[in-house]
Amino acid sequence: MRHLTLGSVSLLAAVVMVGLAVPLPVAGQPSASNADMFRTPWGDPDLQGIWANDVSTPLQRPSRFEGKAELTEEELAGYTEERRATRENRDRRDFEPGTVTDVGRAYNAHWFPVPGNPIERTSLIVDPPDGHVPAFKPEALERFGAWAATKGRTGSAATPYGRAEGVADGTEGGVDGRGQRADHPEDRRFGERCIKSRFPRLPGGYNNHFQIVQAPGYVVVEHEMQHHVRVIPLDGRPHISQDVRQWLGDSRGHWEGDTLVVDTTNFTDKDHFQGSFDGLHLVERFTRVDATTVNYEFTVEDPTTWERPWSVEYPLRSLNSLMGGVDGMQIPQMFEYACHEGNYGLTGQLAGARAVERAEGTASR
Amino acid sequence: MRNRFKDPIFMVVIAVLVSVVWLAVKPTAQGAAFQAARLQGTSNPDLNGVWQTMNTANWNLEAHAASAGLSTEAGPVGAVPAAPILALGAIGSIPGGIGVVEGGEIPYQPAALAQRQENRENVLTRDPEVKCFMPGVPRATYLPHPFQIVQSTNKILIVYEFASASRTVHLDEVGPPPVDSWMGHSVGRWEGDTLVVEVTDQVEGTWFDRSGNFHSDELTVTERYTPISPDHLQYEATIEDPNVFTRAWTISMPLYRHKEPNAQLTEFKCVEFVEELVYGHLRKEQLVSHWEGDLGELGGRLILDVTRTLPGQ
Repeated sequence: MRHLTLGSVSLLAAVVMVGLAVPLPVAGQPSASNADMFRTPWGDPDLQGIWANDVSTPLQRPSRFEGKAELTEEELAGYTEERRATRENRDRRDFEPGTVTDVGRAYNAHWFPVPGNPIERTSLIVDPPDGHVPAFKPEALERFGAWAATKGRTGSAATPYGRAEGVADGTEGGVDGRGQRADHPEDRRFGERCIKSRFPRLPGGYNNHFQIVQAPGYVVVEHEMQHHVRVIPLDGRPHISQDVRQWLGDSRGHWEGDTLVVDTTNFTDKDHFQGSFDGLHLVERFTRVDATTVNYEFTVEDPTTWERPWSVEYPLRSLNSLMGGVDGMQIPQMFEYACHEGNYGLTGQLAGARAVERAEGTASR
Repeated sequence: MRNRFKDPIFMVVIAVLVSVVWLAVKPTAQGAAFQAARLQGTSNPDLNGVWQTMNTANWNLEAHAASAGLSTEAGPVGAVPAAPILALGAIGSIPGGIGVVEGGEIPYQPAALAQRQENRENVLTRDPEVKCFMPGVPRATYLPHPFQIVQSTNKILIVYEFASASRTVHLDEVGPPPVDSWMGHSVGRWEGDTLVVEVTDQVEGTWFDRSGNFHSDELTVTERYTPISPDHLQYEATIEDPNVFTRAWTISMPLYRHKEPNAQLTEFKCVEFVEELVYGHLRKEQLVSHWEGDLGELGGRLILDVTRTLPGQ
């Protein structure tokens, strides 16, 4: 048996030698030492894992922070407390029963994750420096209005601006007081219809997780929300035909140093991102910062919509770090969000609207 | 020299060497020794690619002759297409197939066989594919849509074009899922060059095909993906469900690599396409209610009228 053991050792050694003879991937670019620690076996920067974007900083700078891009440590601590308190209020029971805010909350706090914290910046928008979406071109406002009209939207729901600060919930018309009609499924938001969630992603109330899996020549970003899966080729191929318009567009990636740059075009005109429809051009940048952080940036441009491009930046944090630590934690999984398969919500919205019409004698059939 | 053959250590060495040689040249189950390319930087075979089946398993796992369609009614001689598919003509008819079930027949328990027959008579209203529900495993594999295997080291993501469904095959150790899901819980391991995936925790809502073949929430599926050429994987799925079948049974079929340049999945978010079917009765104004088509000299004019009622009416 001793002979056998020695033979096995030799065999193992031979395998090791052969293994060493295979040229190891050489980092083609000068890279930070952190990035060197995170490499796939085929030499790409490693972005893999489950990441969360539950940052409670708003997209645009609130009026109270006008002219102030960053918070001091002390201000951030106070703001964090305040944001947490606001989030926790989702579960409060002091709303008057039957009011829009009571009924229209959709879910109680059980369905929302542990409140995310704000970052030190006062807006997710980093450019323009004022922290606001740039001015809309007149044609863009007109286009948005026409689109919103097909859905019977009123109030701020008929504009690309969203609800302004200080506008009370339930005061904007429509079947829900939020400027939305429910004459047919097409009136409702794409999330309610289980077709699509906002893309590019911004932090939301729940399902703020992403799974990144890589293979040679590909990066895949799977969204927990609406189980979108973006398969991003890295081989330099051109975008698909402009005739193919998709809800999440068509993405192509490449590495700039250790940063994954993803270029997305071919968006559909059925939906919009902040007022931009099929003219949207999205460029995202994913950079591994350390064991628990990927920095996420995106720039959107659409000359038919905004006066200038604008950019957003926020951190994605590993699920392990959010759950309290990396070591000794069970490997996290991303679970299935089956939205359409049990979409009683949309049935309820439409059936409810029909019931109201019958009660009011306005039913059209 | 002859004495050495009586030396137990020597014999063990010989036996091990013979085994090693035998394992190295042992033909695969498909009868041809094929050495798949390795995933770069690893010792595992590389299964990455856009794949698709080329069979009619999604119409019916068992062998079947071509037939008129998913909705038929009795004619004077045989079945004729019924109203829901009449206008589709040959497009709505079902192509035949030699079957993918090993042994030919799915071993149903008697009551389950009756259920399959009832399902078969109500495919249009019961098949979850019609409503764009996530397809579950193994059906996702042989839907008439491509899927992409994205193989990393600890995880393999299988991305299906149909309904944007996907699943993660965990090669690392993860805990059990808290609830059942449409695409189930997949745990994988390598057996030589074969990726073996145990799929559990699937909801009972999915079917195996458009012929009413079904399962309960006690379903377990063991899949085997084996490279048999640079452009083919042999796919096997062994299906067990003590509530529905009398024994385990296996389906088997090749997967073909999409070879066209720049092959990629395109979106097939069919939820949008089934809204009229699922929610049309809840519109304020009924939309799809009447259709007329002029089929020309050979077909005359076809007129279809649609009436819908609310549940309970």
